[in-house]
Amino acid sequence: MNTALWLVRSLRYHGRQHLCLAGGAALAAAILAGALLTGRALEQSLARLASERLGGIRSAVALKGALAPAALADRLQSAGGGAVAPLLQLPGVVRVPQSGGEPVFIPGVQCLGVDERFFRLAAGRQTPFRPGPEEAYLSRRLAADWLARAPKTASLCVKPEVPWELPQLMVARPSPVPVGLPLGAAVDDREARLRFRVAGEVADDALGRFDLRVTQRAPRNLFLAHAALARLAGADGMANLWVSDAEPGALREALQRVWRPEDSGLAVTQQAGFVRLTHARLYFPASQVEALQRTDSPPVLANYHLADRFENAAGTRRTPYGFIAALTPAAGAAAGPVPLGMGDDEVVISGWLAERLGIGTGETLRLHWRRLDTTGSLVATQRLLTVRGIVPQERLAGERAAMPDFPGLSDVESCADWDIGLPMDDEALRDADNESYWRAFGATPKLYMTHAAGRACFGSHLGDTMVVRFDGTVGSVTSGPVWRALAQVDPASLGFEILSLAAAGAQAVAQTTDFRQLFVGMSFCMMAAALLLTLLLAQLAFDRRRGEIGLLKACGMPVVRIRRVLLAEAALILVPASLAGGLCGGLLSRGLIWSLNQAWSAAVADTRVWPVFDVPSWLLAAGAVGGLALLMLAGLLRQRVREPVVALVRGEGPPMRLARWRRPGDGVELYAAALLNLGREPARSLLVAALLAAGLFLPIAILAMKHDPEARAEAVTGGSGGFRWLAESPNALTAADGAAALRAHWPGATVVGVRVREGDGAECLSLPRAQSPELLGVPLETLDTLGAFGAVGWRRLSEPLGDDTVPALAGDKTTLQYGLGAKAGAVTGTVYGYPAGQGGRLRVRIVGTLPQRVGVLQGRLLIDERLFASAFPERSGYRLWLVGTESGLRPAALLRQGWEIESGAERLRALGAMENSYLDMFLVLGGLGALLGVAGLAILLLRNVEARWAELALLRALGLSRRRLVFYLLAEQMGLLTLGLLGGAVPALLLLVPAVAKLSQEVPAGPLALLLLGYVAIGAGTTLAAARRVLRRPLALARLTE
Amino acid sequence: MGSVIDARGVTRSFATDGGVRIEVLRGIDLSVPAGGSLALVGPSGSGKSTLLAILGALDRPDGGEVWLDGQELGALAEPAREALRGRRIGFVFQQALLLPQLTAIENVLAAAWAVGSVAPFREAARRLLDRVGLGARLHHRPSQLSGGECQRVALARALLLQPDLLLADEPTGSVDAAVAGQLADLLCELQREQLTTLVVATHAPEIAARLSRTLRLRDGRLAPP
Repeated sequence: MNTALWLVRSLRYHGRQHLCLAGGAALAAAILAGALLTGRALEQSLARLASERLGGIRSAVALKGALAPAALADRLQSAGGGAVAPLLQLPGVVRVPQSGGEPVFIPGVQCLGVDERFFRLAAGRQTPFRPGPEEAYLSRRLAADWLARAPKTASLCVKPEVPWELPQLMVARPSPVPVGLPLGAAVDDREARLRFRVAGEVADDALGRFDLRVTQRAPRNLFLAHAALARLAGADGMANLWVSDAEPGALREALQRVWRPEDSGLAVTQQAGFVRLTHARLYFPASQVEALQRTDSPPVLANYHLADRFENAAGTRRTPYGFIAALTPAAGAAAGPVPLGMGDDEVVISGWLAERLGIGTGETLRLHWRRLDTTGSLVATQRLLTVRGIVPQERLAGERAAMPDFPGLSDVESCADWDIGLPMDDEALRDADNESYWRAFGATPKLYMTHAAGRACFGSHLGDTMVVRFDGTVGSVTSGPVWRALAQVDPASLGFEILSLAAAGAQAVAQTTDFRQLFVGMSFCMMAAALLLTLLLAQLAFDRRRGEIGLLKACGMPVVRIRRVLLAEAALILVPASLAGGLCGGLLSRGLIWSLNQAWSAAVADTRVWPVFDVPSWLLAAGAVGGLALLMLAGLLRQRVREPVVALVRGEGPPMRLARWRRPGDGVELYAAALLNLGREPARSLLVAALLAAGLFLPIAILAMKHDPEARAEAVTGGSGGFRWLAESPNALTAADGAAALRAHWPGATVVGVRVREGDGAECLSLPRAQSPELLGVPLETLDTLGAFGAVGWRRLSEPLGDDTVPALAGDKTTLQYGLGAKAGAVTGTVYGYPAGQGGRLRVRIVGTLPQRVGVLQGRLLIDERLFASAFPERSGYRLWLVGTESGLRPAALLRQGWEIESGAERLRALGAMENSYLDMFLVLGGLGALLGVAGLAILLLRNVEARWAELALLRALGLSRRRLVFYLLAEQMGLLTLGLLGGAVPALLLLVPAVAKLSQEVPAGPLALLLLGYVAIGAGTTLAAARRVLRRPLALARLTE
Repeated sequence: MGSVIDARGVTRSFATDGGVRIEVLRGIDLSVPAGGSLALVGPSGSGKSTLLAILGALDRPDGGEVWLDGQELGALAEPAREALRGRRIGFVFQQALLLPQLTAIENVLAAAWAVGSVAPFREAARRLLDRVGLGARLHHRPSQLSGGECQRVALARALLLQPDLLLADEPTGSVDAAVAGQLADLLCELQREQLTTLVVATHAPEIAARLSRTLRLRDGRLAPP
């Protein structure tokens, strides 16, 4: 006889109890391991998707709103920037014809003009990329969406006989000129179309998922030969993205070394006696202007604007429309009509203008013009200016040639044909004198002021210099100090942004929601129920062994040793059971992952999840459950072993604690007595009640939290802010153009244009943690007037914070809490930095959120559009449109043009789908936990009947019918069930009612009542079945003596 | 011959659920000489088992002193009482209280296992079981033994460590009269063979008659029968 023998014999003899105990522990371990493994699988899946998204690409040079030579890739590579591939990245729409059906439009397509160098950067398999000039490769997502939207497509790679049966790609030709720029012209023919054949598919691990945005969602990528896309876009040999397998630091250094001023869009032309520098973006970036001004021979800076009217001071003579030139006062070949020493309130006018206004030197004239404010609005302005001099018209011919080429004015015969992106007065345009001036002198400026005065009058956030003039020749400029000064300019200030793609991707995955914690939390109640069940089983098992404990105590075995021996016995059961349960958790996880890939895919935003078996997670789950169960058992044994030996050897339970509550006399009702029995073993009763409560808490909490995301969607204070539709135009548009396009289909609609700085999605549908969330520039006054999204306090976004940050609001509460995991506050709010125009950095601080929990602007940060426009001059125009209209029809014509139009309700439904999927999962797991509670109740009943056989036999002998005996037991169990109900339901409701009230939701009384009734019914049914089964055996009075 | 067990003025009371205290022992004075035997008789609920538990260091009195071979039990901490109980006191309960998972010999050896090493007692256990007539049933489990046989195993277990004091609480209470007689005879024979002091709580006069002295417990006090 020794301890080992004792353990072996005990394990064998008490095998049934041990099996139950092992089952409980294994179940708890399986639940925990399942949760951990599922979370781990999701994390690893995100990491895998991040790896697929970028392949071997680690960094990139991105040029927003502009183009540069694709050959920059070769220079970067030769300067140590790694293997570099140039890309032309353009948004597009694919039109898919269907045989016998309407064509289908697939918006949101990312067109990538690439060459084989790009696919060499894939970490996985290589795509043999040899497309013809009219052939394209599709990403898997695009191919899947294509087939889903156009099911009548026979095959993606079909080679139709007639070309109009070919799919068609529509892209916007990139224009470096900012949208909405006065004189930038409203060019309507930016759209380019290409009929193409599908040459193949690019696998996900072959860079088919390539996307700069940090997201797990696959993009709709269409890969074309770089040359083909560039030709289509009118950008031969140009690119706007260069990806590399080098680290960002190496790429940055390489860029600094090989960057050339002409890469930024500079054009040099020889004029009569001087050299003219112009910029593809029309306005020179400030950093280049500053660099040029620092040279030994500062240049003449020139800016141009359109005057609405010139008047004499009395207003008696006037002439409409004409150009103003603002030039640096200078002398020399490059100098214009503005002489050195001219004041900022003085002007030089053309002889033609002097004659029309009848004014001479020293007299004043009134100048009318419209200046552009940061919101893109044109503000009518006027000013009295003194005429410093009059220049004969024939001496101004050079000034006409020195002007930049304004799209919409080139090759225009008549003023009536001007197309310069400004609303014009048709009657004034028909002015005969002005028409004759146009025919004779074209756009030659009629008035000249200093460059400083021009900046004050019509300079804007877009810039104040359109032309830079130097004395000399092209050769002397491009090989001299001017060029060297320009080469010193930081390319970042010109829009060349170094993207740290791999690091940002890894960080986004690392900082994503802790899925292990999430799934553990989700399974917690079920796991707690399983552990409590284990404890209950252990308690029942040790109760049966009271005599053994008593005997060992009577034999003088120290209580510490008794505890150790029994605990060792339990450990021999619990440790392997937990390990085995952990292994079963792998199966549970597979089941959960299967459901995540199927029915509950919304919970992971349709992310493909691959199952994993992670040994540390398994050991952690087994260790935690085994350890916790042993700890609980140690506490239980401590209690048991302390009981008096006499009581133990007699097998007596603790005395009845509630006996004193009995009513005196003989009138104790049978059912009251049954309820009082709960006090016989209060710890056990409480344990079962806790088990029931643990199982019930979650389902009640979830039912109370479930909500309809579309409820009140249309209300102005609801999730959509009162906007029925969200429209995204394929290109940035001016506010007027966008509103006009939308109102053409939705007459009388309220249209609010929003500026967009692309970024990572921080909405719940994007699982990796957004590193640089999308930024929106919103019109505060308009939204405030509309009362959009309720009591937001829009105007606080225009109030300075007192540091270098600008205030921002998160799109909804979910964005702040889950999407970004950020803080809000004027001082403590989380700050995000964005590379801004001119090489600066815009730092936005989250000061609050829109009041909705889930809103259509989820995942975005909102700032004042004026600040937006100043910070991102290259992102002019509006892309997102909030539309308030009664109409529920989606304009097909806009969809054909590549607009993406989604109703607020659809958006809210999509956002709510994830939350509701999680709640459904919680509900199912909680329901299983509740069933464990019921199982505990049934086990207790069986044990009670067994332990109290004599009592039941006595009651039967006293004449109690079997039916009443069943109800006697039922009453006792129902008491426990009621305790469990109160323990689970009351805390859940107390916790959730205030939260639900805050969300202006109604507590779903009906479903809650149904749940509780169902729970009682299942509990009562189980008890009844167990009681009937047990009491079917004969209860002989003779057994009283046993 | 000196006393092995001495009880002086032992009192013990219990609180009922209604808060009323019931005095079970009201000043018990008792002395049993070494090798002697004593029968405690009295009706059910008279406190015989309570007194036996106090004498065997299973319970503590509210008042008075209990001396075991010159050692005052009340002065001992629980570990010392455990050690004393294991080495010097043997118990036989009304129910045999055998460990169901162990065989007969293992049950006997459990007494040695509870307090230390088993090896020196293997032979003694075998001999004792042989002595109580179970030499052929060494490896039988309690479920394979009759009630009387189980009680004999319990007797062997109680005597394995040759205790100074053997306490038996209604040792024949759960067996029929014939078996009870055989058990009582065996108990007395072994007590004499091992020179153990024996105190038996019983309400069976035929068992009391086999012991050298009998005291009746009534109203919490001891009196001659």
